[in-house]
Amino acid sequence: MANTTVPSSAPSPAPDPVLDAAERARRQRGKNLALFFSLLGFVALIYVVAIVRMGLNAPGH
Amino acid sequence: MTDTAFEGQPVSVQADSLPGGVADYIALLKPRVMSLVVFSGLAGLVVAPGALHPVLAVVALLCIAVGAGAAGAINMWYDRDIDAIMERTRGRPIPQGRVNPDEALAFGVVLSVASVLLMGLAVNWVAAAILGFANAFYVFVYTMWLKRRTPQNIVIGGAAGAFPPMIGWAAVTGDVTIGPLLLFCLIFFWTPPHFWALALFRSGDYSRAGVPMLPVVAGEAATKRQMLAYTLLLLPIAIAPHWFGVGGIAYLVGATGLSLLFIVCAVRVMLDKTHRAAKQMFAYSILYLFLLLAILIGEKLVA
Repeated sequence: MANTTVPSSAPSPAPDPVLDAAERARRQRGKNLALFFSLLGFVALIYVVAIVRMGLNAPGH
Repeated sequence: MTDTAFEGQPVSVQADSLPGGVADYIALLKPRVMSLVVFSGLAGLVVAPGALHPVLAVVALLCIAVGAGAAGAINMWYDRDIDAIMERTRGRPIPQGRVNPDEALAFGVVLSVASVLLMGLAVNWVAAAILGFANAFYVFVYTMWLKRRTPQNIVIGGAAGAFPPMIGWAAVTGDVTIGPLLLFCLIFFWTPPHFWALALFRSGDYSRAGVPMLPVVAGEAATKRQMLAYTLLLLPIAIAPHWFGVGGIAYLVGATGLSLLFIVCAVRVMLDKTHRAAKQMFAYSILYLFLLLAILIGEKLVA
């Protein structure tokens, strides 16, 4: 993993609050979408597994 | 549970004022480590006698991957103090301030429990029990107990990384026999020379963080001797799966050649005054395990 931030004694420029808020909202939206698709995938997975297992337990299998 | 080793020490890392994104949560799962774990799980799954429905096989691999990643996230939560000190780990999401430690812990625990439950419900409870045990071993025995206390940390703790082929095998057969035990031994005895090669050229990092890795505690010469001893021990262990019917002729030839090369690497590390040979050995150790497992998988698929 890249070592991206090295502590420096030089003063860093003040963060732009508008850009920060936009970036914060963008990251939160990304996390929300990731969580949504993860849960959707999990539900679909349980559904598929249930069908497969029912098929394996069917008579003659 | 608290981090005991470096309480009160300043963390000399600039914190990010913004919360982390999806990539930071993926980084918590240690995807590079996860890839080798999944591959070794796949090897166990493929070489085990019998067959598993393809959907259930994918679910089993997913559970192994998520379970290993979850253990990695909990490890990053617990080791956040030393991660901030070590150059290799300073860029991780928690020391960088992009992910809250409590969120990382919750993330790891939820994924760990979910992976074990899904493995049990979808595949079988033997595989689920081994997955749960491996996760608990990595978190409680390696991370919390051994890592900061003994130079034998990765020798005993290495067992956690050796479970995936056993989990894959158990997913197919529902039991544990000599075959998965041999694959377990292969990874268990491979771990010390692999990790100590890294520790040799990162010993300054470990020393600063107060982690008693063997090169820090016993010195480089003793570490190099131990590395050679483990690679010598690994030769018969690596070829043993052939004698027990797990691997064929191609595996026997491949395991012998690759293990002899591993021994050559260890000898070169002993003779090398710089850390160049150790870096090469570290890279080779990953290739070594990958190729051994690939031969096992390839042989089974061709047969």
